[in-house]
Amino acid sequence: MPVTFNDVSYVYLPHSPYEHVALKHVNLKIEDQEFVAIIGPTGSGKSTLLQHINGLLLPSEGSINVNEYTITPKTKVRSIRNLRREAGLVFQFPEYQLFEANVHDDIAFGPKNFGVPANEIEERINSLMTTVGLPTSLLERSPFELSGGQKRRVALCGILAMNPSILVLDEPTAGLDPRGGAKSLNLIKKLNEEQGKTIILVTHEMDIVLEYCQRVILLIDGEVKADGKPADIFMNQELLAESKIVQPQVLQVATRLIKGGLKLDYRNIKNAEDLANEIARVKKGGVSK
Amino acid sequence: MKNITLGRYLPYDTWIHRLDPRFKIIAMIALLVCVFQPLPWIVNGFLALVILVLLLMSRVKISSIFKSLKAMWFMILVILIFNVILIRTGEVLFTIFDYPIYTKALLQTATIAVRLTLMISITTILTATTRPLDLTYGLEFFMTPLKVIKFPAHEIAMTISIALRFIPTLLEETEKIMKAQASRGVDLKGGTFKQKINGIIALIIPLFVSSFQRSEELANAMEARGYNPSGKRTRYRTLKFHAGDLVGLIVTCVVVALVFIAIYNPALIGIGGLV
Repeated sequence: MPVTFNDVSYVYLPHSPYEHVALKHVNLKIEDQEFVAIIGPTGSGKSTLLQHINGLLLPSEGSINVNEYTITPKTKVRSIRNLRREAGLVFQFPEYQLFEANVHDDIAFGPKNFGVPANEIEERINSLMTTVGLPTSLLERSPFELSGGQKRRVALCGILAMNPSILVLDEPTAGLDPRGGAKSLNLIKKLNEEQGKTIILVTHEMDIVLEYCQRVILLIDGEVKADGKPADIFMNQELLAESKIVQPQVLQVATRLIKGGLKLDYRNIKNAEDLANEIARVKKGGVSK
Repeated sequence: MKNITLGRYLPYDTWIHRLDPRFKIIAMIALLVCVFQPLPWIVNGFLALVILVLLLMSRVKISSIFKSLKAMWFMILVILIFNVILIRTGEVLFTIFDYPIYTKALLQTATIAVRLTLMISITTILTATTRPLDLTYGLEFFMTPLKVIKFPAHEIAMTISIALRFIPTLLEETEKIMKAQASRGVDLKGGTFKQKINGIIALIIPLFVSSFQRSEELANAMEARGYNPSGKRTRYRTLKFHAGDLVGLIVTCVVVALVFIAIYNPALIGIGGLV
């Protein structure tokens, strides 16, 4: 079932000197199994938007449909509690949420809260450790002894252990080295392709958006400014100039080559390898793969 | 978390906001002393009126004061019970199950309730109109003479200002961790007692871990910039006594003088008959 935002607005601290309108009449529909990126400058309402998807924030106006749940300004939090299991939200720097005595208990914390039977939790933990590429010997260790990247993967396991159908991630690569970032994105992609999870992520790294995502939503000042395929948005020079988005590096090269007269089809380019293939194809004047 | 209203600085620009923090601290103490005097009701009413005017001037919401009283009803109830048992003077107002309730007991409780309300109002005015940093500058000023007896005035002021500086940060952090754990099914409002305890543990441990990390980082950052607690330093913002402060000082003196005359020589201001 899709995620739908119907004319959603959100105001922080209404009627106070700190009042701030974070979302303004947002209308969106995210289909099942989509891989969507939400981009936009700091303070454009990206995180606020994410927190509406699992009901952490209730809209000030409008409504949101996620699976069979409907969230309106008057929704009681109790009634949407199970939504939090179905739409797993991974916060920025999720390693800060670790607290249990060992990795095993920390991963089991979420599913336990939602009443998943113990033997099923065990199964999930074992298969998840393989999925995220952590040795099962870590299960007995304290989460505070692990390295930064390991901590983050454990935290991700903690959300995945609830087996959500929608995975929402706030800057999953922040603070990771390039290789760690690529690793976690490949993992997310695998979850999308093999397990059919809907992925909605916020990121500031446009190269990632181009390479992994099927769709981009650009938020500016709490409004949806653009919504479409990454390549189309990143080649829209007017939009880039207006919203101060930095073009992904491969597209910067492609733009120059196209300007120089090379008839590249930018829609085929997602990373450096694609760019090379595309140049080869154009140069040969035929189809190459 | 952001909706904690009581005692929070409100970024308006009123006359009270612009007053010197040092003066505001003194005025607050003076008013508190007045409030806790054994006052006749008419003088209490006068003080309440003065404080009400100050509240309105500083744009503190009166409703927020009453909200804080809600949290105190239990304390007032306990005081009432003690007073009913202990105070046996005055007239008997009525009897419950042959137990006499004296008027004095009720009056005494009412007085305490009024005093508490006024006390909260006064302190709220101070904290709502003074930036926490200005407040610590003010405190440091009053502690400076104690340096003579090797009292670490600057260090204490620095500690207080760091603590104050990190209150909003910690609240933000708390909110973030709460949301992260709520996403993992923690339900601090509903849920059984055991679930609530587990939820609190899931909140407190990460908060401790990140606070320790933060304090270490801050200490390193300060060291890296050559911080030396015993060094002599200048201020970016210096406190100055303005004409407005003088007006405030005169008003405070008049109020305090009126209150004390009312206590010790009521005839002087023509309310002798009323007391």
